[in-house]
Amino acid sequence: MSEIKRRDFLKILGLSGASTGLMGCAQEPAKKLIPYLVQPEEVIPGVANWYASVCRECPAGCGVHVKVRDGRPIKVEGNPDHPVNAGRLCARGQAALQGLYDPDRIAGPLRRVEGRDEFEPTTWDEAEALLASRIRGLRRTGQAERLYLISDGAVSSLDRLFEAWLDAVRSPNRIVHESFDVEPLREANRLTFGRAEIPRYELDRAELILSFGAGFLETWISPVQYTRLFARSQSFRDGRKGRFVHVGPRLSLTGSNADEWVPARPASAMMLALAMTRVLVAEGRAGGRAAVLRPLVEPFTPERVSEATGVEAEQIERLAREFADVPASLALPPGVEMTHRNATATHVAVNLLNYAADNFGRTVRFGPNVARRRPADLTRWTEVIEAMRSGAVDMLLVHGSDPVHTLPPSLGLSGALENVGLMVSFASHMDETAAHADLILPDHTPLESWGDHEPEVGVHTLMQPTINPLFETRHTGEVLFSLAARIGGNLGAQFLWPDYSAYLRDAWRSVQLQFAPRDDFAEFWHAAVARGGVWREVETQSVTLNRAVAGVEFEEPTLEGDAAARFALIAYPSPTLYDGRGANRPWLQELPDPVTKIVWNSWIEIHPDVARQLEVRTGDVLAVSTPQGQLEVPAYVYRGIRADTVAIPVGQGHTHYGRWARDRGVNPLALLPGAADASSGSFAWLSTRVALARTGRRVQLVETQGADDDRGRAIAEVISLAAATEAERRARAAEQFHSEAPVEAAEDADPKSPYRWGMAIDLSSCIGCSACVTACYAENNIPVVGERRCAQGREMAWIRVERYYEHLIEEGSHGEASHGGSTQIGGGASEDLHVVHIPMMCQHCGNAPCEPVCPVYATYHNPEGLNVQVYNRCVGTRYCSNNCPYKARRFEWFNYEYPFPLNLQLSPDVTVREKGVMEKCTFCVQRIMMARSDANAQGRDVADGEVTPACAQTCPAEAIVFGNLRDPNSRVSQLARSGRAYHVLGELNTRPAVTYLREVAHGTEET
Amino acid sequence: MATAAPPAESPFAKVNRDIIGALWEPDWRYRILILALLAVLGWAGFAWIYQIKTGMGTAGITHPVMWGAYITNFVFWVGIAHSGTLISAILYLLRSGWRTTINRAAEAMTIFAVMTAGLFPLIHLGRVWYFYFLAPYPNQRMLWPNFRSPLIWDFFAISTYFTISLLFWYSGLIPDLASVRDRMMGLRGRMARIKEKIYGALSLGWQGTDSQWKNYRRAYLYMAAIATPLVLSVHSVVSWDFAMAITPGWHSTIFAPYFVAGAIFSGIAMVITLSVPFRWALGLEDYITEYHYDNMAKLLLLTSLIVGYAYLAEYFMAWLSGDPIEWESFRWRAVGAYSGPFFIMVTCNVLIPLLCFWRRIRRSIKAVFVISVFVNIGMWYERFVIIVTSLAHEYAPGAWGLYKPTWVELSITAGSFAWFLLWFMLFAKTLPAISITEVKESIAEGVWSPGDKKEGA
Amino acid sequence: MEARQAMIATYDDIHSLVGAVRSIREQGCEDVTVFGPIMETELEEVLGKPASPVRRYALLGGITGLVCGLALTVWSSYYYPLVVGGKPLASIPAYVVIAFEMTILFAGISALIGMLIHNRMPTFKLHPAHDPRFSEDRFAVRAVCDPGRAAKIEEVLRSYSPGEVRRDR
Repeated sequence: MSEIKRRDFLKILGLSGASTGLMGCAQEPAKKLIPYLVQPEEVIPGVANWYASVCRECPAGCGVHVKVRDGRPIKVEGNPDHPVNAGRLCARGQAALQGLYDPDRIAGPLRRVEGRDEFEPTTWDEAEALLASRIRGLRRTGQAERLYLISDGAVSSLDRLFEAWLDAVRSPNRIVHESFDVEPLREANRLTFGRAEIPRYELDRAELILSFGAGFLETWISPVQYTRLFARSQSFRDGRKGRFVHVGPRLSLTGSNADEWVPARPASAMMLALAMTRVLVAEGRAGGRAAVLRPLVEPFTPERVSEATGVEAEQIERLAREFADVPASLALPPGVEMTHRNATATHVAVNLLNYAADNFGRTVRFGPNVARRRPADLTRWTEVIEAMRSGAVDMLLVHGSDPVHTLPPSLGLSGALENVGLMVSFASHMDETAAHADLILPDHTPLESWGDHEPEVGVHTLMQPTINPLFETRHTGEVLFSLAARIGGNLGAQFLWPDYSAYLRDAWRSVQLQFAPRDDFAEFWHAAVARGGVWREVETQSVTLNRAVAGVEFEEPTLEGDAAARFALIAYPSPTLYDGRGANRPWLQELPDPVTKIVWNSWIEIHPDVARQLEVRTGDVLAVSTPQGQLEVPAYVYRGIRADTVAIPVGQGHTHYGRWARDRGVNPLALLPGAADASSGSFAWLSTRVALARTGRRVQLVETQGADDDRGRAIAEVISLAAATEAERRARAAEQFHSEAPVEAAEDADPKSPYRWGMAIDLSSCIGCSACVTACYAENNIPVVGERRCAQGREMAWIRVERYYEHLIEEGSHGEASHGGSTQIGGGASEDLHVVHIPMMCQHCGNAPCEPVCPVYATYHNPEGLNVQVYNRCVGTRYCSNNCPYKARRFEWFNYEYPFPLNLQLSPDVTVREKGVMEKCTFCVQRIMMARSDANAQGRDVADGEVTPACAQTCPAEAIVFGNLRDPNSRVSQLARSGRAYHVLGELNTRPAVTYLREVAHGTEET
Repeated sequence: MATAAPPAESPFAKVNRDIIGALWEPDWRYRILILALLAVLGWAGFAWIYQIKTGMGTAGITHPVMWGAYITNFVFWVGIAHSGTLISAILYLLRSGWRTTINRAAEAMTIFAVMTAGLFPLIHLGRVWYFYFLAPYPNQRMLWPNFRSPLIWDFFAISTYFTISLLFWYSGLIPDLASVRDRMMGLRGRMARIKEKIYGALSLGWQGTDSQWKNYRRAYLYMAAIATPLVLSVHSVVSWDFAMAITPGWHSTIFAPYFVAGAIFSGIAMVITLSVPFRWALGLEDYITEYHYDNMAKLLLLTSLIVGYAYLAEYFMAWLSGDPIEWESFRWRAVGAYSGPFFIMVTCNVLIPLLCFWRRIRRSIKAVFVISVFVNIGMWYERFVIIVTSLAHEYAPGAWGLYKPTWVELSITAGSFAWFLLWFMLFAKTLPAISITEVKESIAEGVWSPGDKKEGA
Repeated sequence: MEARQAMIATYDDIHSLVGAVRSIREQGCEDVTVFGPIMETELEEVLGKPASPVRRYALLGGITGLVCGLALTVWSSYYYPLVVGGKPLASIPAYVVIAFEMTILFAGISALIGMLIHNRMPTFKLHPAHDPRFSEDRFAVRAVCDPGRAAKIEEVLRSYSPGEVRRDR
């Protein structure tokens, strides 16, 4: 046997490789690779570039860093310097990439085929020419006001450009549209303090947060920021933990994190707030402020209020006292879904409560306000729609909003649009509004374009393109410039910028004046772009009660609906799809709803008693009807909702928008009348009652979770504050002797290795928002499988957030459910419902049950303690999954497709798995490798905090900590030594590397 | 046709004539049946190819129930495989004469059952095109399989079992093949010459001299002696596929004896189910009589009792352990989503076989046949229940799920039966289906002779 | 010296055969070969030939299998060390199963091989004295002795009522 030469060997290898490819219908062998001939500067193959930008998935305006590999954005992460989100991001933000790479994007300018419901491609030149001539026509006839422009409410240079441009065209008809506005709050502040502003809520400073229903951890104003602050206030820190009381008819994701739930009647928040204020005033807890308040709240005795709200008078008083007695409290107003006919008054009532407890300037600060354009109120909309219907609108430009889908159909917008002379949409996706257009001039997606955004006063953020436009799209600003040029006249002279970035630079000269007047602009600009913007502290402004407040009429709003309509309807913004703009993002469709764990569908939440009356189970389709319309939607039986209330999430029910959104679920707006809040005029989401009827049909509502409670198996543990404090004390006492001792799991790695990677998850911080899940999908090329396959249990999530309806676990007594304090949890109405969220992923066990059973060593324990999965070696016996007690492993049932351009998002650092192999959480091993090679290059060990998996990186609650267990001083080691630390199913002696810290809940004490 | 048959045919000659006479010249029914089996097999083959091309997702298995019908079939067929070697080896060592007429068929069944079972680990592989990773072969990186994995134990146990059973069966055949050859010598015609050549080759030139006999009997004895522990080990190993896992409902020490008993139970049942039509079709009623079914029914009853005891023991231990997770798993097995299969399992495996306590039923071939069919069904469901219910209802309540087989799994399951029967039918027409030698021996020893029903026994 | 004389007698039941064999061996005829469809332990004793060597093959095979099994598993675990489930590299209890199966396998195969070797099988060349009936219902004894004693032997053979007796080259 002669020696094989290296070349021959390689040939043979290649050959066999190819042949396995053929015979095995395995992944195709790599195609011909073409290296850069002329390498673009600043692009080094294999090295990622990061660009700072702004997330535009909702008005919150979080700062992001976009990871770009070889010219393709592959991951979006929070910008750590950013004042709004401090490096964290929600699931919707993570999914921004799928907006960019949406295969159903509009690929170029489109023109409606005459008289038919379809579009044909046109050229930018034609389209703009047509548009310009029409506008010229309008101006010549002096009918410029017959041109309308609809856009979103973000405060930005583009917004100012719209203003200026409309002025130049001489049309006053600018309509700002936001699906979820906070105008009642603004109006209430105007009435209460004469400030038409939206203040900053300092949740982290509040030791008692009393929310009247705002979904501030989901969609309300600035969820990522609020989540961070909330977690700081509510997580267990050295013996103290804030309290969170949720008041409202429904236990939302936000409410599911409450220590106490007060299931008050829908639309009764105002009364409660007033009654509590009265208690404070009556008991002299309101200090000097009592005098002004007394006349306002006098009539609202707890007794009277209690029958209006269904909350015991004692409870009202207790809450009021607690609210006043803690050093710092904060009352949050009802959110969007609770906006009813008298919403402003309710907000005023909440203001009074905060005022009585002297929270203004402390937990509620005016000054660093939230910046939002004031959207058109419903009256304005009605006028506009009427104008359209009467043919008074010759031209309608729509940018950045989808009113057809986000306004109640009962207003008749879509019908009216038929009579608009020329409707032009700048949408980059074929949303319901765009579908009505005669001309579509697609804008870039935010990740492709220049732009800026001012989410808060004093925070100016910059967007920069992270990729060349994928399609024949054009920045709307630039379209306006070229239109101006074509129209000529004063317009031609006014908008002479070559492109939008030039305009933006000029626009920012004013920003420079505020921040660094003396600096050279170019430097300032570069710094700002690199950093993602500029921001400064804004000092607090004190407030005084305004006379106008006396005029506010606090009267119970009535809900529409006849006797048959017994259930108040809550249409709430979807935590995952927002107002529906997320509906064509597979990641978000497949992201289980944090509360119901349902994917790819709509549902109506009904109380078990109601289910019993109607004799329906989860999945039975109900006919929900109001005078405005009827919907058929499957029931979800939920203990977290009052028996006189039902709830349907907003966001599904698209008729266009894309392959994943179309004809999926329902849009509850179809049920709502065009009712408005009396004072602010903003749309009243909570204004009607509905009638329910069985249809007899049944569908499978796909829930990704098996059982809803953990059968006392102590999967997610909850302990009382006392128990937690005691445990901590003991732990600290123990540490005094051997504080340097690494945790047990640290031994489970090669003795020579400096690392044993591990993770700690603080359940008292985790709110269950599931941002980690989407971040994991984005980082690890996890395929989306669709509803049918989810129904078979084949979703591929490496990390899932399990939601359990828990009972209190007393210290030490594992598995025994004790009902201690259940009277308080759930506040009586819904017995002892307490919700725990627990992220579950591969635990990287030291004694991993999955490893020894693999016949081919496809999974084994690597020297750094990781439980690694070797895709190339895996033959797919699936034994490892059977033997995994955490069921953290997933199997590639098929080869999944990534329709162009979705495939551009795939990360080159992570294998795209072939059908037939096992996979699971790797602790983002690619990031570990990266950090290690850097460290090795510098001849040092990886420092603590240098490696952060995608889930930990994005967690808005900062609940996940990753690090080296071998280093006794690393944060993860310290947490692992905490008194609250436990291992899920630890009794199996799997020695997990993931340590959980027990959730701490108030109101769980026996006394 | 017998060579120079004496006027009064000797019993030995009659044995030759009956058994060898049963070979060849299949009639039209036989051919139809073969075609039907081929058709089913073809369909199953298509299903498998479809599964390989599209992915395991075409089967019903899912998260968390990663094993389903395929592994059920695997265990089922391995179980079937156990009667053969048991009857031939253990009963041979125990010198129980009644085995002589059924051991050949039983051994053949064993081999074909193993051949069937052996397919399923491949069918259920996610990437079957890399099946050879499971084999210990020297490779580029000198990476060997993980010998700790019960699946590798399976690989060794099953392949050993197959080899040994095959050799055992073949060595049993050698003298009979020789006598077929010699019979051919007496016939005229080209076919006879060809067959003489073939059987001559197969018989390796056996001529029945005393020294040959001596070595032969020794070898046979030793193989029987080692085949016995092998039988016991093989199904123990198969049971450890489950017992070695920490899954509640699997992780149990009684699995080895429990599974071995179950295997013998199902094996005997399959022997009965097959031999009844087979003795009729080949006209061997004189050779396989009530006497044999009586004995087999006794064995059936015994193993059924053991299996029933195992069921009880499992529940008792689950209860005694006081482990809520273990107990929940077993509780759910009986009353959960799969209570149907559970009910079938208990009825067919524990209740119905009790009928064998009555001698009249034991000696009624029809009754025994019906019972055996039930047992076959019941044992398939036993494996299904053990595998599926345990996986569906594990430690993490959040990850509980259900499993439903798809057409692919059902087709392949049907195909496995076709594959098995096909081999058996071919065997019945080409090789002496009853051991000529051993029948003669038991005649000579006066243990038993054809036609004897041993009413008194 | 002259060729030795071979004689073949056939019987149709094994007991007379046994008798015949015993008597001719008493006559001092050592070279006796028996043909027949079956064999009995009694006959083996009468023939009094040395015990079959097959058992040694079985034993050796078994031992080889055992050693190979243990060697392969342990060696390969150390040659390419991979830690799984926090178990030692040489997980003997697990490897015993492998070793056991290989013991059985090797023992079985070698026993069969031993049998074949000592039976001079496989072969196509049948014994000159072979007769198809020997595998059906006839037993035959073939005795070889000095021509001098042939007559005596033949007489003995005939005394057990054989089917036929003939002299054979």
